[in-house]
Amino acid sequence: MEWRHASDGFDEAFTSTGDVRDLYEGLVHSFESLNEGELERREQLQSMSLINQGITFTLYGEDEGVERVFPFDFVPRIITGKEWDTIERGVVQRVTALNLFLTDLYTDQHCLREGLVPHELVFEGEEFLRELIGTRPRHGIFTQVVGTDLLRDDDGQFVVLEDNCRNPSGVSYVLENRNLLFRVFPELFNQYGVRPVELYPQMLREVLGFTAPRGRENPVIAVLTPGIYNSAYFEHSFLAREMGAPLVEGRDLIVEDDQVFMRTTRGKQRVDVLYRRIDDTWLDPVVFQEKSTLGVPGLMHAFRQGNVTIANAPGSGVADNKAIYPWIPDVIRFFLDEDPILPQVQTYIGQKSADASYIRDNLNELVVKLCGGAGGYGMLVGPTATKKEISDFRTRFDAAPWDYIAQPLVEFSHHPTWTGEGFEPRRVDLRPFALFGDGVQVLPGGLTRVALEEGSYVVNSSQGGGSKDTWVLAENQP
Amino acid sequence: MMGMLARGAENIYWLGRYLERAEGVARMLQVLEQISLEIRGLDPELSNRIWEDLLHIYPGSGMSRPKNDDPDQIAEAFIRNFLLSSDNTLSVAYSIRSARENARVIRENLTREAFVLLNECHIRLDAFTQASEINRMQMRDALSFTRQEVFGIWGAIQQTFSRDEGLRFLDMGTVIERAYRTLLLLRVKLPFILESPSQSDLPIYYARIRAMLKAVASLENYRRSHGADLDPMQVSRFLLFDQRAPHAVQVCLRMLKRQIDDLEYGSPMSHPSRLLGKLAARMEFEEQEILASSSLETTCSEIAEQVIEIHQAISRLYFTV
Repeated sequence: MEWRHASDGFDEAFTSTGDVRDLYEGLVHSFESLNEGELERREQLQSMSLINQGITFTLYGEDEGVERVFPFDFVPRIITGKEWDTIERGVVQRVTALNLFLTDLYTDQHCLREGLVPHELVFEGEEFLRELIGTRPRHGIFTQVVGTDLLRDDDGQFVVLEDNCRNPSGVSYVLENRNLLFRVFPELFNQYGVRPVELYPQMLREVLGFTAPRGRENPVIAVLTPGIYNSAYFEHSFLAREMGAPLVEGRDLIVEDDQVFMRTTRGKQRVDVLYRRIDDTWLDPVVFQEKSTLGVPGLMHAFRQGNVTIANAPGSGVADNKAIYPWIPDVIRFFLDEDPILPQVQTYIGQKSADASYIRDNLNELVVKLCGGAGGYGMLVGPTATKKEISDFRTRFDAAPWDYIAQPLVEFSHHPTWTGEGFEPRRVDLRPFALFGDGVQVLPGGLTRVALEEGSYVVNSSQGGGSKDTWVLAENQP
Repeated sequence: MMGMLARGAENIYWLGRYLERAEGVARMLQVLEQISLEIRGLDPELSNRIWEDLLHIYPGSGMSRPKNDDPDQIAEAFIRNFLLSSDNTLSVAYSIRSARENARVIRENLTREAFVLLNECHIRLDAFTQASEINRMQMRDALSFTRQEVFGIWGAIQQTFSRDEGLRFLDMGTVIERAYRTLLLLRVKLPFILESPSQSDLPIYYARIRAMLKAVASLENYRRSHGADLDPMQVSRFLLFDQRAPHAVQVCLRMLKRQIDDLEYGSPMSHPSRLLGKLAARMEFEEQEILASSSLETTCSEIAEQVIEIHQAISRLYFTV
């Protein structure tokens, strides 16, 4: 059974000389004790399990509406307790600062008056919702759930690639991947003390309950989904089921007297907390997209009145706007008076004319992203793009340079990944999930996304990415 | 007390109806194939015509009688259409796909065991609908495994579901579909079985009564209750009133009443409850009159209409809040 290690960048399992890292020795040994026939059998069992359980996402674009299984690679990624401690502290610090930043932006705006962040970056982005100026969600918590995307650089250090403060998705796969691995490769767990992730739904429910409107004992929590054709519908129903909460669509809700109700078999039932998985602009046709059928007329007013908690709060997207990202280290210093624990990637902003020229002239060396983009859409990876792709992208960039940011290509770390023939290095990132209620907690695990294609940097499920189980070892482990 | 989401209740109700329908149509196809083979040598014309029963028990299929007279081709056309067609909204494949869509919508109300079994059944059947060539033997296999898998799903539901409103709506959908189809079967078959056959027609006559009982999974139950005596009035009474017959109309209505009573416990009587009470009372106290009616098939038609009214009243009350 062949194991190949990465020739460039950091390899999670192998040293630069090709030796197995101590941390991975047990894992490699466990896989080596299985013959190829057995591996194939387990792989089939895993595929059937994913298909039969309907652990899928839905594609947009050409194959719209088609359900696809989110590919799962059975080689788990291992993170030591010590490494996790840094990640955890860094994410807690970042989420705390981002929420203080959001509260300030929508209330006193000290950070703008003191020139911490350029006004225009905040006000010109569509993520900032003027309608919410003066609104302070319960306990000042805008983002109950944050997914922070991390990479490990060539030196093995974790760096922040971006924050996801709106509707970070993927946590269902974190839990399902663990279940799947328990079932298909139980022996892998023999030599490691892996911290459990199954508590997440309970943690989420507690966080949502903590931020419920004042005076609502035993609040009614519902998950708001755009419906079964949404790409992340599996996750929406998964979380609703695991939390024991109803999964509602906009048509199930009505607002009366600034209170939100759902239509039940016993008439209208008040809803206190909406864990929404709908973008801001579709939430309320009265305030945003007039033609939205996904949202609920009057919802924003009920939210402003404090009668319903919307998690994450509308307007949170301003904190993860890619154009704001370069200022986050300053945001941390400003609000917490601390240096950032986790470093982040150098970023050029299309809105600055000098940066725009630099981006334009160096498209072939940069990763260029749409400020409001997500899921890898509208992105150029210069070093791997063809001349035509770069030329086409330049045309789009020239039309609206302010819509883009660019970063030097940061080499992702590699991780052994089963290809059907052997274990090959593939690029991975990591999305830990932080929950903000009575304090910030980080789930000890996270979503490791893997670019399954050789040489690819794109880890998004919609574009050929897969995922791995992520093991955070207990503190007494190496 | 908190009710369940109205849209969720509607989906779970239809999940029950579609599962019942899928199993019912698959069973009916198996029975029709067998009876048509059994009587082919005795009455070839009837052996072809008997397939048309499907069009009356499952009206609205959009299928018309094949122009061909070849018995194999007729059988294959009906089986293919009612098993695999995506245009026929009553086909087994369509019903399973719809049940699975309903299940996806309310997945948070389902247990993992029930969803996985339904998903497996859908995936297996979908592979048949996508295949370019399916022969008769494969279609028979598909009918068998679909029935087995639906039974497995029901088993998982009974063993793992929370005893709450969701299960009530699922049971309501199941028994309404069941009662309605039993009534349509009786409507189609009674004119024939209540006729006195000539001596020479007896083998076909009894074969058809047996097939009728099998079509509602009741032949073995009937024999257990009444032995081998296939008396037409006794068979009619069995399928309308006998408490030992799970597909008997009165059994279904009693189950439906129990579910609605539980749902409405402590509330004023609703419209569906009133309609159901009226029908249940008639079935309860007018058994002899119903069986003695000059046109029992017309009575079955009337009762079927009342069942549809109850379905509509349930939809209006619970699903359109």
